[in-house]
Amino acid sequence: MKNFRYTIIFNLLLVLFFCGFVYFQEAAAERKLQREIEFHADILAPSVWTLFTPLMEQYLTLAVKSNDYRQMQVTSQVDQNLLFYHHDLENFEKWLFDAGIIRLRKLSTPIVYKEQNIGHLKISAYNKNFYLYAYLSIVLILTSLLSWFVALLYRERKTLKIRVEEKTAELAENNQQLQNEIKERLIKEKALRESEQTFLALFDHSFQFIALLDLDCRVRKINKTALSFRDLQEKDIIGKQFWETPWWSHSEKLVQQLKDAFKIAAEGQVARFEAHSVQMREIYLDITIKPVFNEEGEVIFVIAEARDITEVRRAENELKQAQKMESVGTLAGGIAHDFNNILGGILGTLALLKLKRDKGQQLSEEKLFSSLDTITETALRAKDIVSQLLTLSRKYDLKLSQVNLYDILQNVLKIAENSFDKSISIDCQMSEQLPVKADSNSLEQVFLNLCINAAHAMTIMRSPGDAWGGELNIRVKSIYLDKQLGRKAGEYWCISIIDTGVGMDEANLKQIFVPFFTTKNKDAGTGLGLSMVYNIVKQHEGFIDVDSQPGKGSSFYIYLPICSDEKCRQVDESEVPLVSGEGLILIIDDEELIRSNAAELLEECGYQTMLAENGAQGIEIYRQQQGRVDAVLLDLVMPVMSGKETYAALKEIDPQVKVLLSSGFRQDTRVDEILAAGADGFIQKPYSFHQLSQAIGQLLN
Amino acid sequence: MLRKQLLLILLLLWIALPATAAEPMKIVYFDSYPPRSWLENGQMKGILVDIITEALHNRLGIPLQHEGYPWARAQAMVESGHADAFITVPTAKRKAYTVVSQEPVISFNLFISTQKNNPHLEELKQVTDIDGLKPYKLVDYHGNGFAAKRLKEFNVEWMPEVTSVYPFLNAGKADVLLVSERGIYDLNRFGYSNKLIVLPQPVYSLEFHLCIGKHSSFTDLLPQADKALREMQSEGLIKQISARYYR
Repeated sequence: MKNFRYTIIFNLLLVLFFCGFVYFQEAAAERKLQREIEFHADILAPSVWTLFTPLMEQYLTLAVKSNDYRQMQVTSQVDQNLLFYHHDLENFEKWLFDAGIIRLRKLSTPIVYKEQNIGHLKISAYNKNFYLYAYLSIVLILTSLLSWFVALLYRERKTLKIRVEEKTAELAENNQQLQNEIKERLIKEKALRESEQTFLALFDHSFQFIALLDLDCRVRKINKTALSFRDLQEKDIIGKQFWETPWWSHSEKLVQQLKDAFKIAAEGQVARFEAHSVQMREIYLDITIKPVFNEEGEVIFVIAEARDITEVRRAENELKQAQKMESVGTLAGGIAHDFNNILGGILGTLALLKLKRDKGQQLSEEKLFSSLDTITETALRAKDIVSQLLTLSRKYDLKLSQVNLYDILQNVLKIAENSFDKSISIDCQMSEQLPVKADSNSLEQVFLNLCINAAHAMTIMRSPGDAWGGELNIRVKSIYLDKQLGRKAGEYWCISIIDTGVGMDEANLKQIFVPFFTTKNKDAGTGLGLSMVYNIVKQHEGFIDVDSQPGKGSSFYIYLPICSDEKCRQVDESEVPLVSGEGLILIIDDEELIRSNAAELLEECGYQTMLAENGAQGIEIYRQQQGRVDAVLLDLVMPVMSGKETYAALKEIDPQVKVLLSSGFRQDTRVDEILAAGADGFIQKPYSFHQLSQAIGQLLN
Repeated sequence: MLRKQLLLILLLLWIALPATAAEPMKIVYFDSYPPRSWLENGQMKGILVDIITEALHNRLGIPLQHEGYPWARAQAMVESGHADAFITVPTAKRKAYTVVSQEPVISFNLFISTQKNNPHLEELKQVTDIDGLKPYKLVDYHGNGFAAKRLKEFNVEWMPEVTSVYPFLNAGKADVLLVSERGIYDLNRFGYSNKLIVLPQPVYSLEFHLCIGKHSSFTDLLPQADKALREMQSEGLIKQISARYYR
């Protein structure tokens, strides 16, 4: 504001200067005109005196034009007009005059001649100081404008300076804030990097396969574990639909499982299933597909996790096998006793018959057939025991099918009755139709294990001095359960195995399913039995409840879904007709009995057969009969050439060869390898006539 | 009634007394027109001054004030009322603002003056009327009212002073100058008689009358002035006065 005050003062001074200039200029002009008019009067005086008008007129004309007057008039001393000359302005100046911009200055002076006043000279002069004033005005206006401009500049400069200072301060503050933000950002970035590194470490180095999928099931991100598993590059996977990726695309079953699981996850639920693949090697994957929700609870991503549980499964199988062997060891004493009794019965009967023959005694036909029946019955009992032993020794293969719990429990009861201490009374109450979708071998293992545990609780686990013995009650009843965490709603079979053994306290009860946890002596248990039981039941979509009190015994409740589906209905093999067909079947098996039985059966069904006792012979026959052999029944385990080598050779001879693989060991990895290499089917020994006829029929059709 | 007549008489007297007693009659003359009138040492002298003094002052008892001015100014003063009268040729213009005496103050003729070597000299000798001068270039002076009117349609070069006409004619810049006896008097006085001649035949006759301005209070004096002039004319006094100056 101070500079504007100076400017206002300066402009006032300019105005004062202008006014002063105008005043003095006007005064000077007035004086000049006064001198001029006096000069003109002096010149005109003689002419006026003589009234010589031509001369006066000439002078007036000359004076008016040369001095740019508007008018000169000579009057007498009584103001009578003597001479008058008028000159008008022209063009622009005329307009200025008419507009009042050019004004008139009027002066009058007496004409004196010989000391007499002889008249007056009057002049109307154009005051053309306007030009000077206009010029000066312009200069002053420009000067004023310049002063205002300078003042403005000064003010702007000052304002700018203030602004610059403010902005500088602001910038400094912002800079400080920015530096703080940068520091914070660096810290955050560092934290983010560390977090990202942590995340990537967890993500990429997790033992699990992890994939982030969008809602179209396309892969958004995949971890290195998954990539390294098949030696893949991220670019090969990103953007593809999850089931189109190389891990699963070979198996329609897997693809369908993934699609179903993704559908469940996309609807907001967790889907989990176990995948079994034998593409390159046998592998078990525990696959979980789970949704990721946003704050509104909407599913925005889906995470697919796959855990390679192949080793776990193998270990479990081995443990189960060991558990079976443990069970076999446990049962060996009782079985040996039974076998001795059986053998005793057979040998005794045979010895009796020999004795009578040696003595020449005539055996009646009735007595002979009675002895043979006794031997046959006793042998069949032995067969059952052997069969049960074989079952125990068989490797674990979770093969779900429609089975009857009744049969399974009957087998377990037979073993228990034959092997458990006689101080234990067994009571089993159940109906004869207990359909369930299960792996019968696994369930036998479960129930047998629980029964053995119960038996131990009532015998060897009792304190020294306590009497052995107790009651083992087995009950089966149906029950409907609502949906709860970890189980589906529906009808279940509740199999209760209740003993009156030593029981467990609460602390032990909480750990009974933990692997290697046992309350038995070191020699009596591995601690794996109940862990295996828990896993098998869970794999059957069932669950276990346990109730136990020390000194009062334990109650195990096994819940298994009732399979009421018509498809689950067990078909009596005897109801299935033999499948007839035509064609030449080459049977390659080192067991003569199996070869001959199979040949007899197939010929019974309408087929022609050729037999080979090993792989090399079979290959030779196939080569000789090339084009005629319609199918090959190939044993897996043979001397000279293994089934795998034989299959490879056959495939080399005829890539279209149809091979039905047979073995008593389905779990053998070689079976999977041959099937993966293109073998058309597998039949497990011992097979029935119906099973073989159906398998060959399906192969050829 | 008597009282009213008395009051009227007193009023007239009151008006007349200052005019007759206090204010002399101002008669203006051309101050450079010898021998008819001229200013010398602040005093007007000449034929006209002497005649008017005799007629109006000596014979009529009118106090006179003789003043000399340039001729145009003198006329303007009468016209504007600053002077009472002048003596000149009564033109129509002058008659507009003056009343003119019937008797002339002086009478005279106009003659042709030209260069002795003027190529038209012989032709000019044959001119007997002023209109015969139309083909020639004349010279005259400003303020000559007669010339201004009579020579209006002639080729005239006007000089500011009467004294300027002689050197102008002598220089051969004009052919003719109309001169009266007074002109001849000047021509001789200024020494142009050896180069210029005055032809003997008169081409025009003129009379100077007493012209009293209509603004003047002496207009009523005119009949008495006429009588006095007539008497002087009859007594031969006017000629005597003129002759005294032209000797």
